[in-house]
Amino acid sequence: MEIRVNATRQELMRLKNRFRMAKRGHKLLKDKRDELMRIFMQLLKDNRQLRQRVEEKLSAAYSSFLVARSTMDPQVLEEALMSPTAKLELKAGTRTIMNAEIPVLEAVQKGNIYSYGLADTSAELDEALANFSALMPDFIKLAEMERTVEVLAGEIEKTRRRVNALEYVLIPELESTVNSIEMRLAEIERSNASRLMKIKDIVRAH
Amino acid sequence: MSMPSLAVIGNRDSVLAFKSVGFVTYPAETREQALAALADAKKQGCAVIYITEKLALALNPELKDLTERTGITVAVIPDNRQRLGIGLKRMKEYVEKAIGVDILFREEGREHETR
Repeated sequence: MEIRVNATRQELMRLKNRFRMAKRGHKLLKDKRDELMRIFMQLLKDNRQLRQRVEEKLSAAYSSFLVARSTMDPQVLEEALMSPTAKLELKAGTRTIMNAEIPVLEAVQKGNIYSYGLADTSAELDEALANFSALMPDFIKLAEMERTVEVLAGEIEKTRRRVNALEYVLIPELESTVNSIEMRLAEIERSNASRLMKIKDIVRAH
Repeated sequence: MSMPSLAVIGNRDSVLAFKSVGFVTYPAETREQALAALADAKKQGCAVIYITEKLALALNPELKDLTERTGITVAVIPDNRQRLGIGLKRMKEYVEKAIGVDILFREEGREHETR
């Protein structure tokens, strides 16, 4: 496919400029895509490890909590956990990787996680809660990472589409149009030359 | 609630412990309860929502919609009964979205040039 335009020098120049621009954009986007891909792959690897670790720790924490529950009266347990004094404060910011906005999360734990009297609760409960508390940094990191993967995936998809559109549609189109205009101009040039020769012959014959 | 906070949505037994560590917790067993919890967490300004795998499965389209529109981070965690591996599956989806093929489970694939 080529773009239908007038075969003029002006048009030719304009198209050549667009062609150069498209080429440059294509190269830039391609570089961006490759870099994003590199970050993405690294991130996936890290994320996978982190998730595994978190899930393991979490299930350990769950089971320690289960132990704590079994040692206590459910009523008392509910009461003990009714009004937590600990508070997680989240500092949410963003940073950009190659123009993709990704979150930066940081949580600060405030207050005491043992929000109950120590008299009628078991030591296992303390331990279980300590387990949960220790899990927090990784837990938050996990959320941040997964979100990053998500955002990057979207960005890569977008960039990939752009690269492909340039590479397989716009650039060939411009190229063939430039070509055809050059051919038309050359054709006009030749016909002009031959006309001049013919006229010269006629003039000389007189 | 002034600061953005973290919420956990899951079955009652799973979220109980999170509460005392400082999370905003929503016990939910059914899809409807989880939806209500999600809406409330959004209203409260939670920036990160953890949801247990079973509920995440039931709410998949809603969760996608939420992250796309509000930028709230949703992470899937296993509940206290079983690990379903939903988190890993979500990663797989993202890989497919980004690259076009799944390379996560094909160890260290070399497929970079896809179109």
